[in-house]
Amino acid sequence: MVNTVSIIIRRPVGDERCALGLRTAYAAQSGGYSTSLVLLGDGVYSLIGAVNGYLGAMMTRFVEIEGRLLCLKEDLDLRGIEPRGLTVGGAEIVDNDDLAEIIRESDTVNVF
Amino acid sequence: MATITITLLSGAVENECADFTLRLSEAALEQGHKVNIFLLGKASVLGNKETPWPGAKGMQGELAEFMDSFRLAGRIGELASRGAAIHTCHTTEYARGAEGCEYVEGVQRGNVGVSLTKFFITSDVAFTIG
Repeated sequence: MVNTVSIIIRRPVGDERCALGLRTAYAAQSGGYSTSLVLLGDGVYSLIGAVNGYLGAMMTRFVEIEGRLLCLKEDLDLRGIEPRGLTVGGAEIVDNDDLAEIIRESDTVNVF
Repeated sequence: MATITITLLSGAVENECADFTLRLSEAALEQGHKVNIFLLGKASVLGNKETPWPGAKGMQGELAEFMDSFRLAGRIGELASRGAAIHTCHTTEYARGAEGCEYVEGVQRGNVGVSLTKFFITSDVAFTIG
């Protein structure tokens, strides 16, 4: 049985994969699975600027129900995004070693 | 024997992920494993019955044969008849204007919050392809 879920999103808001990953993460967390939502690559762009409407609300609600929202420091650095520039509350910044540990501890890893 | 849950994200034609998912599922069933497939996003319409053009194909033989290789409804129905649980995401069907289309026999209308999370309960392994 799956208990812990990792959802990895590599696409930014505007790509359907981002919406599908967000919805899956929210569904898993609200369904009782301990869920980590990791934004990688261009996925980190979803954490800057204004993410209005449904997708912004989904990210906020995911954090409110104690989902773990993470982004990769290396990918922020590559894109010149400063941690203080993140506009989505509750996002943890992790490095490659942290991410490897999160994946190792997950029963299922789902990449979007 | 294991229970395998695959969330398929790609449609039939854009790449080989749908074909690979079906081949993997066929092999897993052959080995006695249980297979769940969740059709999400572009993959959601793979659960629909085909609506063929009633007139001439308008394609020559080789092109028609090439295009026919992407039509997966028959293989999806075959998987379902062999015991695979195949659910769609009805909201991504809705977004494509396909929610009312008839399903291939054995395919069920579903969603992320119920179908996929229920699949997880009994899964030994779960992953996305696409």
